[in-house]
Amino acid sequence: MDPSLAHAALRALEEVMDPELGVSVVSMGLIRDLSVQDGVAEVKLTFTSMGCPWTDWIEKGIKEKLLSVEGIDQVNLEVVWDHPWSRRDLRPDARETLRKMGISV
Amino acid sequence: MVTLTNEALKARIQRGELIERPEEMTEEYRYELKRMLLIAGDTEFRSVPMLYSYFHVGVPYKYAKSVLAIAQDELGHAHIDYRLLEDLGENVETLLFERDVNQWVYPYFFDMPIENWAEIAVAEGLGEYAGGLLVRNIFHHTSYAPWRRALVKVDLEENFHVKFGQALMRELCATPQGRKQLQRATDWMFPLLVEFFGPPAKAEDVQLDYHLKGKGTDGLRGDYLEYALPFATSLGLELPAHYDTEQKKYVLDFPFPCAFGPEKKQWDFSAPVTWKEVFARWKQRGPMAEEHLRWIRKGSESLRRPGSSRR
Repeated sequence: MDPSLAHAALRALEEVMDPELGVSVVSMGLIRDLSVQDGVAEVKLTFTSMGCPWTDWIEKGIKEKLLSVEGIDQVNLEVVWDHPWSRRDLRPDARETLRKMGISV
Repeated sequence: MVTLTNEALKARIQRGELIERPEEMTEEYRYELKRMLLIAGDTEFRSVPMLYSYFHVGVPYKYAKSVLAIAQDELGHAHIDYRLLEDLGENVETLLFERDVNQWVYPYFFDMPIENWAEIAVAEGLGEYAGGLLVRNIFHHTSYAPWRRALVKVDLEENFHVKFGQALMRELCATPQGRKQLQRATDWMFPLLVEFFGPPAKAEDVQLDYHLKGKGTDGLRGDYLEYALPFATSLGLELPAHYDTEQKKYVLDFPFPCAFGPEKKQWDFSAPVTWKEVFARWKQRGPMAEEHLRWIRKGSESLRRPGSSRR
């Protein structure tokens, strides 16, 4: 486990946006786990719903972003559904942005 | 009782104040606001049958949910505009289901048949941007506060639709065959999108005086070219326009407006026409207008018919 790389990876993921909301996948609470070892990033990811229309888009964005981090050369993504995403997973900054957009959270 | 004059209202708005309630409006302001809401609502709403028609062409499975999500977004945006019209006394049922085909006010572009995946990619990658400019022109400038508040999410969604379209175009460009198809689609779509913003700006535009929008048609067209040219060129596509270093802006390489044959999807750059002729084509509506309107009315009519049952 490389904590400094994991930190850099998390910072990188803060630039991957949920396409519909303009809030990062980290602030949305979609990243359930993230670790980096020997250049391999392991990401556990969830979506706000199983019918999310942008799953491919978000997964592609995460992979591209992580591979741009120096020291990461492989990304393993696992989509997890347990526990299901709920508004409790939102970070305070996401909550505020969504409220400004008129979405009740 | 003091009667509110147009001049007093303009002065108030030009001081930066926003309008919240119908009682604060003059007849003129109300008329112009309703006109803009109807155009905005119709533009969003009539983009949906075109999106729906993509499924007749065939949408790869990985993109199917995305296209449906875009259609849902556009319906949501239309709902906002129509809902605000309701506050101003319009009946949405009548607007949607009882207007004749030539009483709708939206760009001719949405009346065109979409026949292949490259046309879908260009409609999203170049077309959505034109729609987004119309929304942004209102969102950043409108003096009608309820509209401005409602457009926060709309602006964001329109931006994303463009990114989706760009990704589709980039993907197709990866093969010479794909690029050729994109070029064919761009050849007929781009001039229609230039036309999308309407005739040259009027010397006096009361919608600008009332801060109902920030830019006139030429300003928007200029913004559109600033997006479309660099993006299309970066993909190796050719558009009939170039950057003029003396004028310091993008200029068109074809007479504008000029003759368009919708059946063959072909422009005749050797045949300039007048705006009067363009208005006549718009008024007549394009090839798919009637059919798209039938799709819109179908469900509503079957529900109203006595004895009909919902399937």
